[in-house]
Amino acid sequence: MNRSKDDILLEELKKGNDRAFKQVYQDNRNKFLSFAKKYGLEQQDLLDIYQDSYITLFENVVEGKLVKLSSTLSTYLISIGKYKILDRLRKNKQHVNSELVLELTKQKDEYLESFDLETEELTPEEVLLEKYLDQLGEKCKNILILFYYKKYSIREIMKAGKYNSENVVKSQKSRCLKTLKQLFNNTPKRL
Amino acid sequence: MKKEELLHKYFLEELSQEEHSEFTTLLEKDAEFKEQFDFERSVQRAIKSKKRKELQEKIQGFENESNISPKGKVIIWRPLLIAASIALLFSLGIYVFNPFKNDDPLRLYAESYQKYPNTVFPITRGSDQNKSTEFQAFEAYEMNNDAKAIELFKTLQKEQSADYIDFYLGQSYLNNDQALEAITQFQEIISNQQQFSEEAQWYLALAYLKNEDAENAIKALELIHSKKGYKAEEAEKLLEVLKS
Repeated sequence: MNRSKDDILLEELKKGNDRAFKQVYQDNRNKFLSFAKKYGLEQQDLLDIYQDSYITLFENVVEGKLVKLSSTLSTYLISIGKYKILDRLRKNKQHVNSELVLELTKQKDEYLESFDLETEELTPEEVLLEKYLDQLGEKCKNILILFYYKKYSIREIMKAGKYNSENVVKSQKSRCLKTLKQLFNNTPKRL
Repeated sequence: MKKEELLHKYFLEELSQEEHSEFTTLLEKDAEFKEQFDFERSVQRAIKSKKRKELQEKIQGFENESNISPKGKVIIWRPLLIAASIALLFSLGIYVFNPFKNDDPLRLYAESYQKYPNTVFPITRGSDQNKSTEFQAFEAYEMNNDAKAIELFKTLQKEQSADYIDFYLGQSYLNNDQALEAITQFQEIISNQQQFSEEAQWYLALAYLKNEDAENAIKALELIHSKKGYKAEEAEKLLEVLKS
Protein backbone atom coordinates (compact mmCIF):
# COMPACT_ATOMS: atom_id res chain seq x y z
CA MET A 1 0.00 0.00 0.00
CA ASN A 2 1.21 3.42 -0.89
CA ARG A 3 0.92 5.81 2.00
CA SER A 4 1.60 9.45 1.52
CA LYS A 5 2.95 11.87 4.07
CA ASP A 6 -0.60 13.11 4.64
CA ASP A 7 -1.91 9.63 5.40
CA ILE A 8 0.69 9.31 8.09
CA LEU A 9 -0.09 12.75 9.48
CA LEU A 10 -3.79 11.92 9.51
CA GLU A 11 -3.12 8.81 11.53
CA GLU A 12 -0.98 10.72 13.98
CA LEU A 13 -3.62 13.43 14.32
CA LYS A 14 -6.17 10.79 15.14
CA LYS A 15 -3.89 9.37 17.80
CA GLY A 16 -3.65 12.83 19.31
CA ASN A 17 0.01 13.38 18.47
CA ASP A 18 0.82 16.95 19.42
CA ARG A 19 3.73 17.26 17.02
CA ALA A 20 1.55 16.29 14.10
CA PHE A 21 -1.10 18.73 15.30
CA LYS A 22 1.46 21.51 15.27
CA GLN A 23 3.05 20.49 12.00
CA VAL A 24 -0.18 20.39 10.02
CA TYR A 25 -1.17 23.73 11.49
CA GLN A 26 2.08 25.37 10.51
CA ASP A 27 2.47 23.67 7.15
CA ASN A 28 -0.83 25.03 5.91
CA ARG A 29 -1.07 28.37 7.64
CA ASN A 30 0.52 30.63 5.08
CA LYS A 31 -0.88 28.80 2.11
CA PHE A 32 -4.36 29.16 3.55
CA LEU A 33 -3.94 32.83 4.38
CA SER A 34 -2.73 33.69 0.93
CA PHE A 35 -5.55 31.73 -0.66
CA ALA A 36 -8.13 33.49 1.50
CA LYS A 37 -6.77 36.97 0.91
CA LYS A 38 -8.83 37.60 -2.19
CA TYR A 39 -12.13 37.69 -0.33
CA GLY A 40 -11.46 41.06 1.20
CA LEU A 41 -11.60 40.10 4.85
CA GLU A 42 -9.36 41.59 7.51
CA GLN A 43 -6.11 39.79 8.29
CA GLN A 44 -7.29 39.04 11.82
CA ASP A 45 -10.52 37.56 10.46
CA LEU A 46 -8.56 35.38 8.09
CA LEU A 47 -6.43 34.01 10.88
CA ASP A 48 -9.57 33.35 12.92
CA ILE A 49 -11.09 31.52 10.01
CA TYR A 50 -7.97 29.46 9.47
CA GLN A 51 -7.85 28.46 13.11
CA ASP A 52 -11.53 27.66 13.11
CA SER A 53 -11.17 25.61 9.94
CA TYR A 54 -8.20 23.78 11.36
CA ILE A 55 -10.00 22.90 14.56
CA THR A 56 -13.03 21.79 12.54
CA LEU A 57 -10.84 19.50 10.48
CA PHE A 58 -9.27 18.11 13.61
CA GLU A 59 -12.62 17.54 15.29
CA ASN A 60 -13.87 15.60 12.32
CA VAL A 61 -10.73 13.49 12.37
CA VAL A 62 -11.16 12.76 16.07
CA GLU A 63 -14.84 11.92 15.64
CA GLY A 64 -13.95 9.44 12.96
CA LYS A 65 -15.61 11.33 10.11
CA LEU A 66 -12.42 11.50 8.16
CA VAL A 67 -10.90 8.07 8.02
CA LYS A 68 -9.38 7.99 4.59
CA LEU A 69 -8.15 10.97 2.64
CA SER A 70 -9.52 11.43 -0.84
CA SER A 71 -7.35 14.49 -1.21
CA THR A 72 -4.52 16.21 0.64
CA LEU A 73 -5.04 17.67 4.08
CA SER A 74 -4.46 21.12 2.67
CA THR A 75 -7.29 20.64 0.17
CA TYR A 76 -9.58 19.66 3.02
CA LEU A 77 -8.57 22.74 4.95
CA ILE A 78 -9.21 25.01 2.03
CA SER A 79 -12.58 23.43 1.36
CA ILE A 80 -13.63 23.93 4.95
CA GLY A 81 -12.20 27.43 4.78
CA LYS A 82 -14.29 28.30 1.75
CA TYR A 83 -17.38 27.32 3.64
CA LYS A 84 -16.39 29.40 6.65
CA ILE A 85 -15.40 32.39 4.57
CA LEU A 86 -18.77 32.42 2.89
CA ASP A 87 -20.41 32.16 6.26
CA ARG A 88 -18.38 35.09 7.55
CA LEU A 89 -19.10 37.21 4.50
CA ARG A 90 -22.81 36.59 4.98
CA LYS A 91 -22.64 37.53 8.65
CA ASN A 92 -20.70 40.70 7.88
CA LYS A 93 -23.17 41.44 5.10
CA GLN A 94 -20.06 42.30 3.22
CA HIS A 95 -20.22 43.01 -0.45
CA VAL A 96 -17.47 41.43 -2.39
CA ASN A 97 -16.84 40.54 -5.94
CA SER A 98 -19.93 38.50 -6.68
CA GLU A 99 -18.09 36.16 -8.99
CA LEU A 100 -15.86 35.09 -6.14
CA VAL A 101 -18.83 34.43 -3.91
CA LEU A 102 -20.51 32.50 -6.65
CA GLU A 103 -17.43 30.36 -6.92
CA LEU A 104 -17.65 29.67 -3.21
CA THR A 105 -21.29 28.64 -3.30
CA LYS A 106 -20.88 26.42 -6.30
CA GLN A 107 -18.15 24.32 -4.84
CA LYS A 108 -19.78 22.31 -2.15
CA ASP A 109 -17.04 19.78 -2.07
CA GLU A 110 -18.41 16.30 -2.03
CA TYR A 111 -15.95 14.85 0.40
CA LEU A 112 -17.09 17.29 3.07
CA GLU A 113 -20.60 15.88 3.02
CA SER A 114 -20.26 13.85 6.18
CA PHE A 115 -18.42 16.65 7.94
CA ASP A 116 -19.80 18.65 10.78
CA LEU A 117 -18.95 22.23 9.86
CA GLU A 118 -21.04 24.30 12.21
CA THR A 119 -20.08 25.44 15.65
CA GLU A 120 -23.25 26.28 17.50
CA GLU A 121 -23.12 28.41 20.61
CA LEU A 122 -23.72 26.69 23.89
CA THR A 123 -26.93 27.37 25.80
CA PRO A 124 -26.48 28.86 29.28
CA GLU A 125 -27.17 25.41 30.77
CA GLU A 126 -24.48 23.88 28.64
CA VAL A 127 -22.01 26.52 29.73
CA LEU A 128 -22.67 25.41 33.28
CA LEU A 129 -22.23 21.77 32.33
CA GLU A 130 -18.92 22.61 30.79
CA LYS A 131 -17.79 24.05 34.11
CA TYR A 132 -19.03 21.08 36.08
CA LEU A 133 -17.07 18.70 33.92
CA ASP A 134 -13.99 19.82 35.78
CA GLN A 135 -15.54 18.85 39.08
CA LEU A 136 -15.74 15.24 37.99
CA GLY A 137 -12.91 12.86 38.77
CA GLU A 138 -10.36 12.21 36.04
CA LYS A 139 -11.72 8.74 35.40
CA CYS A 140 -15.23 10.02 34.92
CA LYS A 141 -14.17 12.86 32.72
CA ASN A 142 -12.14 10.52 30.61
CA ILE A 143 -14.95 8.04 30.06
CA LEU A 144 -17.28 10.81 28.96
CA ILE A 145 -14.70 12.29 26.61
CA LEU A 146 -13.95 8.93 25.05
CA PHE A 147 -17.61 8.19 24.50
CA TYR A 148 -19.15 11.52 23.53
CA TYR A 149 -16.16 13.16 21.87
CA LYS A 150 -13.97 10.44 20.44
CA LYS A 151 -16.92 8.14 19.82
CA TYR A 152 -15.30 5.11 21.36
CA SER A 153 -17.64 2.17 21.76
CA ILE A 154 -18.13 0.71 25.23
CA ARG A 155 -15.85 -2.16 24.28
CA GLU A 156 -13.12 0.21 23.12
CA ILE A 157 -13.40 2.19 26.35
CA MET A 158 -13.10 -1.06 28.28
CA LYS A 159 -9.83 -1.82 26.53
CA ALA A 160 -8.44 1.71 26.67
CA GLY A 161 -9.27 2.16 30.36
CA LYS A 162 -8.41 -1.42 31.38
CA TYR A 163 -11.88 -2.09 32.74
CA ASN A 164 -12.88 -5.63 33.56
CA SER A 165 -16.05 -5.80 31.53
CA GLU A 166 -18.33 -3.80 29.34
CA ASN A 167 -20.90 -3.71 32.10
CA VAL A 168 -18.45 -2.02 34.39
CA VAL A 169 -17.91 0.66 31.77
CA LYS A 170 -21.62 1.11 31.27
CA SER A 171 -22.40 1.52 34.93
CA GLN A 172 -19.40 3.76 35.47
CA LYS A 173 -20.53 5.94 32.59
CA SER A 174 -24.08 6.26 33.85
CA ARG A 175 -22.80 7.04 37.34
CA CYS A 176 -20.70 9.84 35.91
CA LEU A 177 -23.64 11.23 34.03
CA LYS A 178 -25.72 11.07 37.18
CA THR A 179 -23.11 13.00 39.15
CA LEU A 180 -23.01 15.62 36.48
CA LYS A 181 -26.78 15.86 36.47
CA GLN A 182 -26.86 16.27 40.25
CA LEU A 183 -24.31 19.05 40.14
CA PHE A 184 -26.37 20.66 37.49
CA ASN A 185 -29.72 20.28 39.27
CA ASN A 186 -28.33 21.64 42.51
CA THR A 187 -27.41 24.90 40.88
CA PRO A 188 -29.67 27.65 42.12
CA LYS A 189 -31.64 28.77 39.09
CA ARG A 190 -31.42 32.46 38.55
CA LEU A 191 -33.99 34.11 36.40
CA MET B 1 -34.31 -2.65 22.06
CA LYS B 2 -33.43 -1.17 25.40
CA LYS B 3 -33.61 2.60 25.57
CA GLU B 4 -30.11 2.91 26.87
CA GLU B 5 -28.81 0.87 23.98
CA LEU B 6 -30.60 3.15 21.54
CA LEU B 7 -28.99 6.19 23.09
CA HIS B 8 -25.60 4.57 22.91
CA LYS B 9 -26.00 3.81 19.29
CA TYR B 10 -27.23 7.31 18.59
CA PHE B 11 -24.14 8.89 20.04
CA LEU B 12 -21.84 6.50 18.26
CA GLU B 13 -23.79 7.19 15.08
CA GLU B 14 -24.60 3.55 14.62
CA LEU B 15 -28.40 3.54 14.49
CA SER B 16 -29.84 1.47 11.68
CA GLN B 17 -32.75 2.90 9.77
CA GLU B 18 -35.19 0.82 11.74
CA GLU B 19 -33.62 1.78 15.05
CA HIS B 20 -33.67 5.36 13.97
CA SER B 21 -37.42 5.40 13.56
CA GLU B 22 -37.82 3.64 16.90
CA PHE B 23 -35.60 6.34 18.31
CA THR B 24 -37.65 9.24 16.92
CA THR B 25 -40.91 7.69 18.06
CA LEU B 26 -39.57 7.42 21.58
CA LEU B 27 -38.43 11.03 21.48
CA GLU B 28 -41.94 12.12 20.66
CA LYS B 29 -43.80 9.90 23.07
CA ASP B 30 -41.54 9.26 26.01
CA ALA B 31 -40.81 12.42 27.99
CA GLU B 32 -38.27 10.74 30.21
CA PHE B 33 -36.37 9.40 27.25
CA LYS B 34 -36.36 12.81 25.65
CA GLU B 35 -35.07 14.42 28.80
CA GLN B 36 -32.23 11.92 29.06
CA PHE B 37 -31.39 12.41 25.40
CA ASP B 38 -31.38 16.19 25.71
CA PHE B 39 -29.15 15.97 28.73
CA GLU B 40 -26.65 13.67 27.08
CA ARG B 41 -26.56 15.78 23.98
CA SER B 42 -25.85 18.84 26.09
CA VAL B 43 -23.05 16.95 27.80
CA GLN B 44 -21.65 16.11 24.42
CA ARG B 45 -21.80 19.72 23.29
CA ALA B 46 -20.22 20.91 26.53
CA ILE B 47 -17.35 18.45 26.10
CA LYS B 48 -16.81 19.47 22.52
CA SER B 49 -16.69 23.12 23.50
CA LYS B 50 -14.25 22.39 26.30
CA LYS B 51 -11.98 20.47 23.96
CA ARG B 52 -12.27 23.23 21.42
CA LYS B 53 -11.00 25.75 23.93
CA GLU B 54 -8.04 23.53 24.68
CA LEU B 55 -7.24 23.35 20.99
CA GLN B 56 -7.54 27.10 20.62
CA GLU B 57 -5.09 27.57 23.45
CA LYS B 58 -2.65 25.18 21.86
CA ILE B 59 -2.87 27.03 18.57
CA GLN B 60 -2.43 30.37 20.28
CA GLY B 61 0.73 28.87 21.73
CA PHE B 62 2.03 28.11 18.22
CA GLU B 63 1.33 31.67 17.17
CA ASN B 64 3.09 33.11 20.18
CA GLU B 65 6.06 30.85 19.66
CA SER B 66 6.67 32.25 16.25
CA ASN B 67 7.23 35.60 17.99
CA ILE B 68 4.80 37.37 15.82
CA SER B 69 1.45 38.49 17.02
CA PRO B 70 -1.46 38.09 14.63
CA LYS B 71 -1.17 41.68 13.55
CA GLY B 72 2.39 41.17 12.48
CA LYS B 73 3.92 43.06 15.39
CA VAL B 74 7.11 41.61 16.77
CA ILE B 75 6.89 40.89 20.43
CA ILE B 76 9.94 42.17 22.22
CA TRP B 77 11.62 39.46 24.23
CA ARG B 78 12.83 40.45 27.60
CA PRO B 79 16.51 39.62 28.19
CA LEU B 80 15.66 37.50 31.19
CA LEU B 81 13.38 35.37 29.13
CA ILE B 82 16.06 34.91 26.54
CA ALA B 83 18.60 33.95 29.17
CA ALA B 84 16.17 31.45 30.61
CA SER B 85 15.48 29.90 27.23
CA ILE B 86 19.15 29.59 26.47
CA ALA B 87 19.75 27.91 29.81
CA LEU B 88 16.90 25.56 29.08
CA LEU B 89 18.24 24.75 25.67
CA PHE B 90 21.62 23.92 27.13
CA SER B 91 20.15 21.74 29.80
CA LEU B 92 18.15 19.83 27.21
CA GLY B 93 21.30 19.71 25.18
CA ILE B 94 21.55 17.04 22.60
CA TYR B 95 17.91 16.01 22.79
CA VAL B 96 16.76 19.33 21.52
CA PHE B 97 19.27 19.75 18.80
CA ASN B 98 19.30 16.29 17.36
CA PRO B 99 15.92 16.40 15.64
CA PHE B 100 16.91 19.48 13.69
CA LYS B 101 20.14 17.99 12.45
CA ASN B 102 18.44 15.00 11.06
CA ASP B 103 19.63 14.69 7.50
CA ASP B 104 18.04 11.35 6.78
CA PRO B 105 17.06 11.55 3.10
CA LEU B 106 13.69 9.86 3.58
CA ARG B 107 12.79 12.24 6.31
CA LEU B 108 13.84 15.20 4.20
CA TYR B 109 11.80 13.79 1.38
CA ALA B 110 8.72 13.48 3.55
CA GLU B 111 9.16 17.04 4.74
CA SER B 112 9.68 18.52 1.30
CA TYR B 113 7.50 16.51 -0.98
CA GLN B 114 4.32 18.08 -2.14
CA LYS B 115 2.53 16.64 -5.06
CA TYR B 116 2.41 18.96 -8.05
CA PRO B 117 -1.16 20.15 -8.52
CA ASN B 118 -3.15 19.40 -11.61
CA THR B 119 -2.79 22.64 -13.49
CA VAL B 120 -3.46 21.22 -16.90
CA PHE B 121 -6.79 19.58 -17.01
CA PRO B 122 -9.41 21.09 -14.71
CA ILE B 123 -11.73 18.43 -13.37
CA THR B 124 -15.23 19.64 -12.72
CA ARG B 125 -16.91 17.05 -10.66
CA GLY B 126 -20.45 16.11 -11.38
CA SER B 127 -20.45 17.80 -14.75
CA ASP B 128 -21.21 16.11 -18.01
CA GLN B 129 -17.62 16.28 -19.10
CA ASN B 130 -17.05 13.25 -21.24
CA LYS B 131 -14.86 10.75 -19.56
CA SER B 132 -11.94 10.67 -21.96
CA THR B 133 -8.78 8.83 -21.01
CA GLU B 134 -7.25 12.19 -20.21
CA PHE B 135 -10.10 13.10 -17.89
CA GLN B 136 -9.84 9.77 -16.14
CA ALA B 137 -6.08 10.05 -15.83
CA PHE B 138 -6.22 13.44 -14.16
CA GLU B 139 -9.14 12.40 -12.04
CA ALA B 140 -7.17 9.42 -10.76
CA TYR B 141 -4.21 11.74 -10.24
CA GLU B 142 -6.22 14.17 -8.15
CA MET B 143 -7.70 11.39 -6.09
CA ASN B 144 -4.23 9.99 -5.36
CA ASN B 145 -5.21 6.85 -7.12
CA ASP B 146 -1.70 6.57 -8.43
CA ALA B 147 -1.49 3.06 -9.84
CA LYS B 148 -4.50 3.86 -12.00
CA ALA B 149 -3.10 7.24 -12.98
CA ILE B 150 0.15 5.59 -14.09
CA GLU B 151 -1.68 3.14 -16.32
CA LEU B 152 -3.80 5.87 -17.86
CA PHE B 153 -0.93 8.26 -18.47
CA LYS B 154 0.98 5.46 -20.15
CA THR B 155 -1.99 4.77 -22.40
CA LEU B 156 -2.16 8.47 -23.17
CA GLN B 157 1.51 8.54 -24.12
CA LYS B 158 0.73 6.04 -26.84
CA GLU B 159 -2.22 8.05 -28.12
CA GLN B 160 -0.66 11.49 -28.20
CA SER B 161 2.57 13.15 -27.34
CA ALA B 162 2.40 16.05 -24.95
CA ASP B 163 5.02 17.23 -22.51
CA TYR B 164 2.67 17.41 -19.60
CA ILE B 165 1.73 13.75 -19.89
CA ASP B 166 5.35 12.77 -19.31
CA PHE B 167 5.57 15.10 -16.35
CA TYR B 168 2.42 13.90 -14.64
CA LEU B 169 3.44 10.30 -15.25
CA GLY B 170 6.66 11.05 -13.36
CA GLN B 171 4.60 12.65 -10.60
CA SER B 172 2.38 9.61 -10.34
CA TYR B 173 5.40 7.33 -10.07
CA LEU B 174 6.85 9.39 -7.29
CA ASN B 175 3.55 9.57 -5.48
CA ASN B 176 3.28 5.82 -5.82
CA ASP B 177 6.68 5.30 -4.17
CA GLN B 178 8.28 4.18 -7.44
CA ALA B 179 11.31 6.39 -7.09
CA LEU B 180 13.45 4.72 -9.77
CA GLU B 181 10.78 5.01 -12.46
CA ALA B 182 10.21 8.61 -11.42
CA ILE B 183 13.93 9.36 -11.74
CA THR B 184 14.09 7.99 -15.28
CA GLN B 185 10.97 9.89 -16.21
CA PHE B 186 12.19 13.23 -14.86
CA GLN B 187 15.68 12.79 -16.34
CA GLU B 188 14.15 12.32 -19.76
CA ILE B 189 12.06 15.48 -19.45
CA ILE B 190 15.11 17.46 -18.38
CA SER B 191 17.41 16.17 -21.08
CA ASN B 192 14.79 16.86 -23.78
CA GLN B 193 14.27 20.32 -22.29
CA GLN B 194 10.57 19.73 -22.33
CA GLN B 195 7.94 21.91 -20.74
CA PHE B 196 8.06 21.45 -16.92
CA SER B 197 11.84 20.87 -17.07
CA GLU B 198 12.43 23.19 -14.16
CA GLU B 199 9.77 21.55 -12.04
CA ALA B 200 11.09 18.15 -13.08
CA GLN B 201 14.52 19.10 -11.75
CA TRP B 202 13.07 19.68 -8.29
CA TYR B 203 11.12 16.46 -8.33
CA LEU B 204 14.19 14.63 -9.61
CA ALA B 205 16.04 15.78 -6.52
CA LEU B 206 13.16 14.62 -4.34
CA ALA B 207 13.05 11.27 -6.11
CA TYR B 208 16.74 10.79 -5.31
CA LEU B 209 16.01 11.56 -1.68
CA LYS B 210 13.20 9.06 -1.76
CA ASN B 211 15.69 6.57 -3.16
CA GLU B 212 18.01 7.46 -0.27
CA ASP B 213 20.63 8.64 -2.72
CA ALA B 214 21.89 11.79 -1.02
CA GLU B 215 24.81 12.25 -3.39
CA ASN B 216 22.71 12.60 -6.52
CA ALA B 217 20.10 14.58 -4.64
CA ILE B 218 22.78 17.12 -3.77
CA LYS B 219 23.88 17.35 -7.42
CA ALA B 220 20.33 17.92 -8.58
CA LEU B 221 19.69 20.50 -5.88
CA GLU B 222 22.88 22.36 -6.71
CA LEU B 223 21.72 22.74 -10.27
CA ILE B 224 18.45 24.27 -9.10
CA HIS B 225 20.30 26.54 -6.75
CA SER B 226 22.79 27.77 -9.36
CA LYS B 227 20.14 28.33 -12.01
CA LYS B 228 17.74 29.92 -9.52
CA GLY B 229 15.16 27.51 -10.82
CA TYR B 230 11.84 26.28 -9.47
CA LYS B 231 11.91 25.98 -5.66
CA ALA B 232 15.40 27.51 -5.47
CA GLU B 233 14.86 28.60 -1.89
CA GLU B 234 13.74 25.19 -0.73
CA ALA B 235 16.64 23.64 -2.61
CA GLU B 236 19.08 25.86 -0.78
CA LYS B 237 17.62 24.90 2.57
CA LEU B 238 17.81 21.21 1.75
CA LEU B 239 21.41 21.61 0.65
CA GLU B 240 22.28 23.20 3.94
CA VAL B 241 20.90 20.24 5.84
CA LEU B 242 22.32 17.61 3.52
CA LYS B 243 25.80 19.08 3.62
CA SER B 244 25.90 19.80 7.33
